Amino acid sequence: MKKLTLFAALALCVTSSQAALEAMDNDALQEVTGQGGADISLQLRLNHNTSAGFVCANNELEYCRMALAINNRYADGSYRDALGVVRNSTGGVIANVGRKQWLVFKGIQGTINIQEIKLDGADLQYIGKLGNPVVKPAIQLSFDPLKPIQFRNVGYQSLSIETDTVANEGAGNLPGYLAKGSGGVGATAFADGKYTAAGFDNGREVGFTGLNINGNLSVAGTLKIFSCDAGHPRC
Amino acid sequence: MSQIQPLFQHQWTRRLLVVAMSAAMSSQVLALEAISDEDMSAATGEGIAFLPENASIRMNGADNNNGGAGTFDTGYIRIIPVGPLTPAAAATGAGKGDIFLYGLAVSQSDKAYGAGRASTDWNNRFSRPIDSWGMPANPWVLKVETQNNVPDFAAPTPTATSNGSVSYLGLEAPLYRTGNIAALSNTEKSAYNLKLAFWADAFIRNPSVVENMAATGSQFDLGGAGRANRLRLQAIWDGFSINGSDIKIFQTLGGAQTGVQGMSSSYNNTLGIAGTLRFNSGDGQNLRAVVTTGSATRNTGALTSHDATFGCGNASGDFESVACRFRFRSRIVTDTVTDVNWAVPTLGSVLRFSTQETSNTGLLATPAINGGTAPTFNANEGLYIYNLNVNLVLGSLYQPLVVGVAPDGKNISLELARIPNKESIYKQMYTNYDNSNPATNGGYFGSTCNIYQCGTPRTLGGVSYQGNTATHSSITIGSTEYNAATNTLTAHSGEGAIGVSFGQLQSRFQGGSFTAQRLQLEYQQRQFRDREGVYTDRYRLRATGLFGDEVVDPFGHPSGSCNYGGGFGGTTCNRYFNRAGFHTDWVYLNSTAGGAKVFGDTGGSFTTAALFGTPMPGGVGASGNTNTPGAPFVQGLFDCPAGTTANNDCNGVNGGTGSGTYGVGVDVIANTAANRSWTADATRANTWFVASNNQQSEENLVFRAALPAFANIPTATIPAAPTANVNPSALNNLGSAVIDGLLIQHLKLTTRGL
Repeated sequence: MKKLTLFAALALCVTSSQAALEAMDNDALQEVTGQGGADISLQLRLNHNTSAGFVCANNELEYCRMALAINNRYADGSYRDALGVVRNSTGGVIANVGRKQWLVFKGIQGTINIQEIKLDGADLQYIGKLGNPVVKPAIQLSFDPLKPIQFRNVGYQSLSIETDTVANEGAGNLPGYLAKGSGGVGATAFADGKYTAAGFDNGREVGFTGLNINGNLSVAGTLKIFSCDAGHPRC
Repeated sequence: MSQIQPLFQHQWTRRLLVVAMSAAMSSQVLALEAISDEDMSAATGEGIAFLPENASIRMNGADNNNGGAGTFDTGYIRIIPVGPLTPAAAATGAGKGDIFLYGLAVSQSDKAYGAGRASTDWNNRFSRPIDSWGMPANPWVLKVETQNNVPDFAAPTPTATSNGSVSYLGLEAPLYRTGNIAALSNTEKSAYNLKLAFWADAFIRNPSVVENMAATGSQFDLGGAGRANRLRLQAIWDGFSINGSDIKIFQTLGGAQTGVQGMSSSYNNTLGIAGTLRFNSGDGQNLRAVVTTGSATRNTGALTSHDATFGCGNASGDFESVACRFRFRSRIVTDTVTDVNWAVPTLGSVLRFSTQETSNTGLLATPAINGGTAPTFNANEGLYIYNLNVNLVLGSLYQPLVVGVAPDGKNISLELARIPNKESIYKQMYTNYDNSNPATNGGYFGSTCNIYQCGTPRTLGGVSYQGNTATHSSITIGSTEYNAATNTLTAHSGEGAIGVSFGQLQSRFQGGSFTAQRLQLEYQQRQFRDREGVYTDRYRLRATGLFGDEVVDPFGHPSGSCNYGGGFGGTTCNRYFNRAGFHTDWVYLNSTAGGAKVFGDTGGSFTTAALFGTPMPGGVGASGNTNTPGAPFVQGLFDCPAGTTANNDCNGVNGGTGSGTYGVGVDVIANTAANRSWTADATRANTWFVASNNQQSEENLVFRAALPAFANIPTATIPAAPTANVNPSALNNLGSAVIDGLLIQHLKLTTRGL
């Protein structure tokens, strides 16, 4: 119980101590009885004020982004092989990789409010890999459908592929994820990284296909989480 | 592995700390460290297991209605159409597509596994919680594993064997049990009885109007104010499972070179994804509409011979006559059925798309902008898909799905790597349908993933589960037929086939009487055969008179003239020469195996020796004084002048005085009676062949050309039971469909215009 409580406390809250997480073996977990449990509530807010409004300044939108660079995506088709050798697209050895390409989620934001998750322990019984009955302690998360997980404006405004300005992330490189260029004409015109033509796109960051999630995700039931050790049929 | 890099720079402290604080982490900075492949490969076989019980999720509206749950089914995921239209699209007057996906919900069907579904199921987006999505011994598993000896892309020759180890992060749904799912416990069955639902509003948005999320305004008025620029769609799948699905994420191996055998360097050492996506509704082998009739009668008689018209009797040598080449017998079978009833079977799984709402019918309203509740849809309208089984194999550790960037640097491509010309890869993927055992089938390991199997099954903890090693995909809708020997599925094509319908599938009753006339036609057939050969003919020169008298050879034989050598009776000179001969006889049809007619019955024909003897060496035109090898000596063919009948005159034994003109020429050897007779032996007499159902086949055309009375009665296979010309099926039933054994050789999807 002690260890379980500690875990719950960590999740719940607010300690500045340097708590180390220790692995618990099955025996230790099985000693945990009573299952008094704990309630977890958690509010995550990303680039939002308390009323789920976007707070990034209009001239600093490039700092409200998330970007992914998938391994070996360079503008010239170069790549690092498994041994770290840089090669061009036909396999020849070259000195440096090209300009890195990024998948940039612009205007990323959201408020997620997990109102309540009950945390306790439960036993599971199954026949192990060797045909032996196993009693397995598991963490059990319980959800109340009347206390849904609230999603408020979760998502991003636009998505685009941006490329570094200097190969091999060399000196003077403007990373793709900070790109804020100008260009285009007419409906496609953009300046300072934002569309300028009047209408729906005006003021939005350059890219395509934003995503926005709004709602109460009403979850019911329990989720048991346990280690799939070598004695389990599936592992 | 792929890098995931957060990019907030100094904003991290200002914005993201909110997250960090809420999550109650301490001020300690936790750095994620890369795990080396060696470390990952050490962690084999273990993972984290998840088991949802009594679980459901439902995306409700962002409010506190319904006791806090929110207005049902109005929470949404919106795909925001950012970015200008392409000039081509703008020129056609197109708008932007703005999609709101509402009320995504996963639950368990209200009906028991396999029980019949009704409108309350296919028009209800949320049912009851899933008792247990997996079992303690068969949960969801997130694990890291390593597979060794995975072939890489390098293939300088097809027999190259270069390979590497791949560590992957895998998320596996509960495995699919083998055998009869219906026999499992209710708890375990609940994972095979899921319900997935959502509804959506898709708008055509006017790109020149600013977005307004508080009122409809004119933002959707493209092509005219108030125009119905909204598609409202509801999708509900009641009764399916995702068991057996898995997704793997890994770093791909290397060795591909751009431009070499169609490969691309973008396959090398990058983020790779492979998955088996399985959505199975249930076994379609016994899913059949039941067809019944009030009464069913058959009127038939004995087979009637048509020898008066065909066959030309048992002695004909008229090889040119079509009638002489066939014999027929036939009968007309008249089936009559009454009161045909086609009953919808138990529908254990229905996927339905519908668009007709019956409430909240504002043409341009949507809850995200205008508030309100989710719409109600017509209970029985729309597109119905029954018993859909989708088993998609998307890639593998050696044929990964990779994400790339188009050459313009702006567009995204998703590519399922081309299968290299490398034996160690393609033999893992290709299927030998005739023989699934790699030890004896040439080493091919591929197989198809379907509801019955998905590669080699496994027994874990004493329980048998389907595998996850199949390489080919299979999609079936409705009634199917399964060939277990080849593991192939085909759509059932009988009158009870169901699969897709527009509107609720209706039973159908057709009162009254329906008939069908079919001709049962059987035939025998023969054709003529030309036989060619070389025979040796003989003639004689006979010299008499005074000693030395000469008889000139009228045929210019190399042996020259015949001179009288004295003695009684004159001198006889034999002259031999080879000639080309031919003979025509009948051969009879004796097999139609494989659909091809085989004329192999030559009973009663002469042997070659009987026809042509044993000719002299040298072929046609050769001459000589003896017929060597000659034994037994064959005189050759006869040549009798008019009025002469004695054999010895004809064959040159007697010869004619002085001239020797007798004995040269041809003879006609009549075929034997056995060759000319349709009934020479029991096999020939009693073997009848069934005429093809193709009305344009040779036998059907010959038969009807001579007997036009049968012109309108089609030759047909007589069904086992009386069957009339009536389509019993419901008129909105589109039947079943199967795509089986689908292997993706190379797939690349690239966006355009971004």
